[in-house]
Formats: sequence, C-alpha cells, structure tokens
Amino acid sequence: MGPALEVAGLTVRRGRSEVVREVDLVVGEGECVCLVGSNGAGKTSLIDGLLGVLPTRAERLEFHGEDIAGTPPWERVRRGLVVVPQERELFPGLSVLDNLELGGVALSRGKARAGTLDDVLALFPRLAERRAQPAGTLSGGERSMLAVGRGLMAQPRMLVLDEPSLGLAPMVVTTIMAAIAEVNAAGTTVLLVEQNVHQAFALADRAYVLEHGAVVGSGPTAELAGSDLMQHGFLGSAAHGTVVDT
Amino acid sequence: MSSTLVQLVLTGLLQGLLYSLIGLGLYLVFSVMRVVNFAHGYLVLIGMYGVLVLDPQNLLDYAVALVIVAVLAAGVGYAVERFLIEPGLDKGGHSQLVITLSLGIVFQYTFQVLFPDPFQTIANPWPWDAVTSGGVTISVPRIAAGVISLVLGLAVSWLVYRTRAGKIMRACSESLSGALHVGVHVPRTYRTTFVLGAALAAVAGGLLLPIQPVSPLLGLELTVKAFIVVVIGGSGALWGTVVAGVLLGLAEAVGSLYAPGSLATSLVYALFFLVILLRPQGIVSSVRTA
Amino acid sequence: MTTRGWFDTPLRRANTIVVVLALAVAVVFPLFADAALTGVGFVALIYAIRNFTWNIAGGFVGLLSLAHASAFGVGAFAVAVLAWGHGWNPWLAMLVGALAAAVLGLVTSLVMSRFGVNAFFYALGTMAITLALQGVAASWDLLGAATGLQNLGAEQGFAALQWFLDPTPFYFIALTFLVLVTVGTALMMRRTRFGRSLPFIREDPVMAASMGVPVVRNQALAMAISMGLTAVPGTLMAQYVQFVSYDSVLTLEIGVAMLVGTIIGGAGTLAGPIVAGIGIAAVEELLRGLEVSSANVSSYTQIVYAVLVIAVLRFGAHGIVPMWESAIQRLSAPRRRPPSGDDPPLVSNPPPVSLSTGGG
Repeated sequence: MGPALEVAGLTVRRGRSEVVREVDLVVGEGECVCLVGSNGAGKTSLIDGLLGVLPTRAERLEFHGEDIAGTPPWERVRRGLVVVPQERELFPGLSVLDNLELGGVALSRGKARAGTLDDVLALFPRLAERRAQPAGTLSGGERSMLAVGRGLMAQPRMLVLDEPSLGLAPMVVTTIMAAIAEVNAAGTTVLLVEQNVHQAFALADRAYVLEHGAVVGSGPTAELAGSDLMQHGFLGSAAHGTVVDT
Repeated sequence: MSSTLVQLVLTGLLQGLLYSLIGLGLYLVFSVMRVVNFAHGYLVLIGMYGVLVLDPQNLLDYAVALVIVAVLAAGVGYAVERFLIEPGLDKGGHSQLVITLSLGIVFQYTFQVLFPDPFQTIANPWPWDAVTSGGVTISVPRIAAGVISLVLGLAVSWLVYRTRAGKIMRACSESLSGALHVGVHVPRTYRTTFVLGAALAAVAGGLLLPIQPVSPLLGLELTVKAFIVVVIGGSGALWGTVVAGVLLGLAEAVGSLYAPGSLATSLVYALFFLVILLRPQGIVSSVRTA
Repeated sequence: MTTRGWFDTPLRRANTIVVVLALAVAVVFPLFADAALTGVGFVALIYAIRNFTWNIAGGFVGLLSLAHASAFGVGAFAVAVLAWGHGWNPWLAMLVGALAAAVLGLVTSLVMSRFGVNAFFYALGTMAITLALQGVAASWDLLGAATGLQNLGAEQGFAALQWFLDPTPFYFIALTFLVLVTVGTALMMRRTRFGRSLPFIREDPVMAASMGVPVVRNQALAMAISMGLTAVPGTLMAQYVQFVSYDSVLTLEIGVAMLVGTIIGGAGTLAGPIVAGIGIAAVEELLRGLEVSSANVSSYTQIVYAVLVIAVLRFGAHGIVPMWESAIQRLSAPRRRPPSGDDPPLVSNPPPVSLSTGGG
C-alpha cells in the first residue's frame, strides 16, 4: 500500500516571499500524522499549498500515487484531499444543514452517499440540534465541529485539519479530538496541524516539526516527545502556554 | 386617488419590475463574483437590438425572439467572463472596473455604427393594445413586461434559494475561501452566474423594446439604473433588489409629473449621488463580512 | 531637476533624446503643416493636456474620477457665458472656470472622503455628478439648453484669445500650457512634500494616514489641482470651436476618454497621458483619411480606444510608457529571468474593490 500523500521539495509562496521552502512530507494511508510548529512557522501556508490555493513548486506532489501538482483546489477535493481550515471559512448566512450539504458539493452525484450526513450528525449531535440555525450564529466550538463535519461530508480519503482546537475550551477540544480519532480509526488518513503539542502527540503516530518554513525534525511521536528538539525548541514556550484565539 | 395618479403609479410599478429584472443580473454578478459590471446596461441593449433586428410580427415570433436574444447574450456573457473578467480576478485593484467600463464603450459605439438611426422600436407583438378600466389605461406590452419580469424574478429566487446550483452560488458569495475548501469549481460557478445575469438582462431588453425605443445611449442610462437598484436594494436578500426596482420605477413616474425631461434625469442622478453617500456600505458590506 | 541626471542610465539617455526630439517636432510642426493639420495638432494637444491633468488625481493618487468631464465642461461654459455672453476677457473667464472647477473637485473629494466612499463608488458618484450637471446644462437657457451657445464676437488676437483663420496661435498656447503643466507637475511630484505623498496615498491610504500624511486633505487638494487644470483645455477647445453645448463639452465620454487614455499611456507616469492623447488624435485622423463617414470616425476611435485599454489591462501591462521603459531596460541590461514552473496563480483572494480612496 503506497502512501496517501507524498511531497518532496515543496516550496510555497505567499505574495512575493517563499513562506515554505523545500519541504519533504510523507503520510501513509490510514496513518495519523501531525505537523507541529510555532506561530508563523508556515504551517497554514503549507496546508494552503497542499490544497492548491497558494502557488507552489515541488519536485513531487502525489496523492495516492497520482500527480496533483498544478491541479486546482476543486480537483484535489474531488480526489479526496480535504482541508478543514484554521479560520473555519464557513458560510455564515447559510444554515448548518446547508453548510454540511455544501461540504459534499465536489462529489459527483453517483458517489454522494445519503448516509454521510447521518454519520456526521451522529458524530456531532450538537450540529443536529442546530441544523436550521445560520452558521454565523454558532459558538466557537460549534463552528469548529461544523468545519470538521463539513470536511467529512466530502468523504475524504485524507482529512487535513488546521488547528481544529484553536481557541476552544478544553471540554470542546476533547470532543473534537475524540471525533478525529474516530474518523481516523474508521480508515481516513489524517494530517493534523497543531500548536497544542500534547493534544496532537496523544493522537498521532508520527510528527513533523516545522520551523521558519522548513522541516527541522520528524519521527514517531513517542521518540520526538523526549527529544532535544522538543525540549529546547519552540515547545519550551508554546507547550505550556494556552493559545487563545482573539 | 385621481385616475391619473393611479395610472402613474401602475405604470411606475410595472416599469419598476422591469428595472428589478435588470438589476437582478447585476446583483447576482456582483454578489457572487464581486465584479462590478459597468457594461451591464449594454447587455440589455443586446436584447433590445436583437429583438429589433428579428422584428417579430406576432406573439410566437416575439417569444422565439426573446429566447434567441437570451441565448445570444448568454454567449456574449460567457466570452466576456471567460476571456476578459476571469483572467484578471486575482489581480484585484481597479482593472475589472476599467475593463467593464471600456467594454461598455465598445458596445455603445458598435451599436452606434450598426444602428445609426436613434430611437427605433417594434410594433406591439401582443394581440391587444391596452387595458382600460375606470379612466385608467395601461398598454398591454407594459403589463406583460412587468408580469414576466416578476415571474422571472421569482424563478431566479427559486434557483438561488432552492437549488443546488443556487446554493453553490450563495456559497461563493458568502465566502470564496469556504467555497474553495469544499471543492466548488469556482470559475464554472462564475461563468454560470455571469451567463445567467447576461441572459436576464437581454430578456429584460426584449421586454423593454415595445415600451421604449432603443438608442445606443440607453445602455449607459440602464447601467446607472441597474446600479441604483443594486445600491438601494443593499446587501440583504435578493428581494431587496426587487423592492428597489419598484421604488425606482415609481419615483421616476412621479418625478416625470413635476420636472421636465433632462432636469428629471438630473434629479435621478443627484438622488443616486446621495444614495451612494448615505449607503456606501450597501452592496459592499455583504462581501466584506463574508 | 539637474541636467546632470539626464544622461545617467541608458533609459534616461533614451528618454531625454525622445523628449527633446518630440519637443522639437512639436515646435516646428505648424511650420510644415497646413491650417487643417495644425488644427488636428491642436486637438491632439488638448487630448494630451486633459489626459495629463486627469492623471494628477487619477493616476498619481488613484482616484478614479469621472467628474473631470464636468471640469472640462465648466471651463468651456465659463468662457461661453462670461466672455461670449457678457463681454468678459476670455483669459479672465478661463481663470474663473479653472477656479470653479477646482472648487468642484475640492468639494467632491471632501464629500466623498467624509462618507468614506471606496474606489467603485468614487467612480459611480463622480459619474453621477457629471450626468447630473449635463442634465442641468441641457435644460438651462443660460447654458444654451438643447441648442448650445455660439461665439458671435469678431475680435481676434492674443487678448481676445481668438484667431479665426489660422489655428497656429491656439496650437502654441496649448503646447506652452502642456509644457508648463508637465514641468510644474514633475517639480511638484519631486520637490514638494505634498507631491511625494500622492503615490504613497495611492498605494496604501491607511498606512499613509498612520504615518501622519493628511490623506483627506491631500486627496482633495490633488482633485482641486487636477480638475482646475482640466478646465483650461475646456476653455481652449471652446474658443477654438466657437461653440459649446451640453453634448459637445460636458459628456461622460470625455471623462471616460481621459481615464482610458491615461491608462493606455501609463497611469501615474508623466509621459503616458501625453503619448496616448496624441496617439488617439492620430488614430482619429487616420480613420478620417480612410474615408470613414464622419459620423462613424469618433465611434471607431472610441472602440479602438476601449479595445486598447482592455488589452492593456487584460495582459497585465501598465501602459505604453512603462512598457517602453522596461523594453529599454531589457535591451540595455539583459537580466536572467526568474525561475518558473509555478502552479498557475489561481486564487489569491483579492479584495473585491480596492479601497484606495477610503479617506474618512
């Protein structure tokens, strides 16, 4: 079984500057990998590059063995590479249900499965309660759930989550993380971007550490957790502070 | 109410429904694509001149002519979107504004060259001329234009709020980034929207022709009126556009009582200027908050 | 502006040569042209002047104004009403027209800033102003209403700003004005704090304001200068044609022509608007030479104009002059091309309408 995502020498530009340089990244099928790094390390830019909303250059950019370099975002989503963005990017004026339905918009009609919506609502019962409410009126936690749920509606082969726990209360973080674990257990590949290393390492099998737009370390989370890099790197400050979205 | 006033109000209302239909296309393009189409009034002229050339002699011909101009304008709209608007969408700045402004000039003077005679029109394609009741007379083409505009407005509203395509359009309007994340084929949605707006404009033009003679300068006037409708209609729901169109039609009808010719036009523009000052958040805010 | 800097780089050398040559040709042109062709030259200069004066607000500050058509009309109507109708000296009427247009520009800009109008509404609002004023001119007898105003005076000479047979003096007055305005603008842009602030305001008004630039005041001042100066070619044109009416000197087309002409030539450059103005007059003359029926000449010109501007914007160029400059630079110093192979720059989420005029 080949890797779900194989990236070599990926450079991402934002405006005129290269915010991610020469990154190599491999995520195996069914694996849960996390990407950690401090604020401004280039995590979100890397994700935007993977989705194709920022211009990129890469030696290799393959999704399930197929070259996806140069393909537009909708093509990547259609193939099952789905990103849940840090800013959630919901449709605030549309109802929760409409938001979820739009999540499956990239699927061809034949592939869309009626059961997906039920699965998502079962995963996040709160969304079922709020189904008719406009997304703009949801709380931060509910918005995060909706973003994840909307991502799942696309029936992803690989779900990329950009800081799904950012700014949330610990209770909600637990709910979200449990849902992610469940999704991963059901066979979906997960790439989790997190600043909250403890949460991420508890979930992931392997991790990449991103600093200043480059990968500075990688390996199984169990090994990384005790390494010098983790102890003396960015974690010295970030791991113990709570990060709250303003 | 005197019968003159009733007549005036009814005429204004029907004319206003037609303005709503013209404004609707502009509104769709603006809210979905964030493109301000200064050439919109000229898409209406495509409908007017198209029907003029086809010169329908009866109702069936007229219906066919309307369909033909809609398809024609849709084709023009597609080409404009695909080759002029879309490539510049990521550049930002003023380029879209100036491109559509220039496109309007191209249309205006092309019409000027092709149709040098001003104020041309067609014979009434409807089998009846006018409806009279209690001293109030309204011409049938005017009634038909108003009613068909209303029906088309409702159809568009159904499309936008009840169908999958409409949901995708609203998604693009609410959050472009969100639309990209769920995998919306954004350029395709833009093309659909622009084509729809152009087709609606052309049909409105075809409906307008029996009521108002066409001349190349009308394009600019209709563009401005469409802007008035969209700006007054504001950011809210689509029906704001319809209400604004009716308001404009009524204001125009009543205004024609008190101010003659060009001065009445001046008043409309002065009013428009005030609207711009007082409600500049109107159509822009809907995009910003998304 | 020291003479030393004029030959520093290949680009400057090329530009200096072009400017000197162009000026020389412009000065000797009437000696070799008959009256009709000199008249064409005069009209070309009027186009160049009004593009140039539009550029002061539209190009340097980025205010997409269509109210400049009103300024042009104000200049024309000032001389028609005051000089032709009430026997004023035309030069004085010109001054009054310029002042009136400047006040119009100042007030327009201040009102727009007060309400925080963005670029799109700026264009629409200034368009509304011009259309409203045109409607007034079309219905007010003082301004000739639908029939227009005719100059019936018989005086000619410098004091009367009138020559009936030979347009050469008109030509040289326009040329002198253009040179003066160009030099003056160049000095203003380089030497004064006000002039140097203008491109800064265009690029980022918020940033400029935060750094202490009086954005609202400077935008208004630029509009006043720009519109005031635009009235002058209006006056000259009226004197030359000896006729004004709402649909000859106060039309939206004039405003669009200034905007579009400047963009073709290169907005925010000194030479661009002039090059485009003269080029457009040449195209017009060329079409006349092809025996296109006279009613269609201006139509074809407008179409050519608009197609050019669409091409310029569509292909990401910045106009004739910037293209010339980069061509000269490339010829003189061939550089390596930046590495390519990028994904197409598909989506970058631009602001819908650039907010470069949100003063208040």
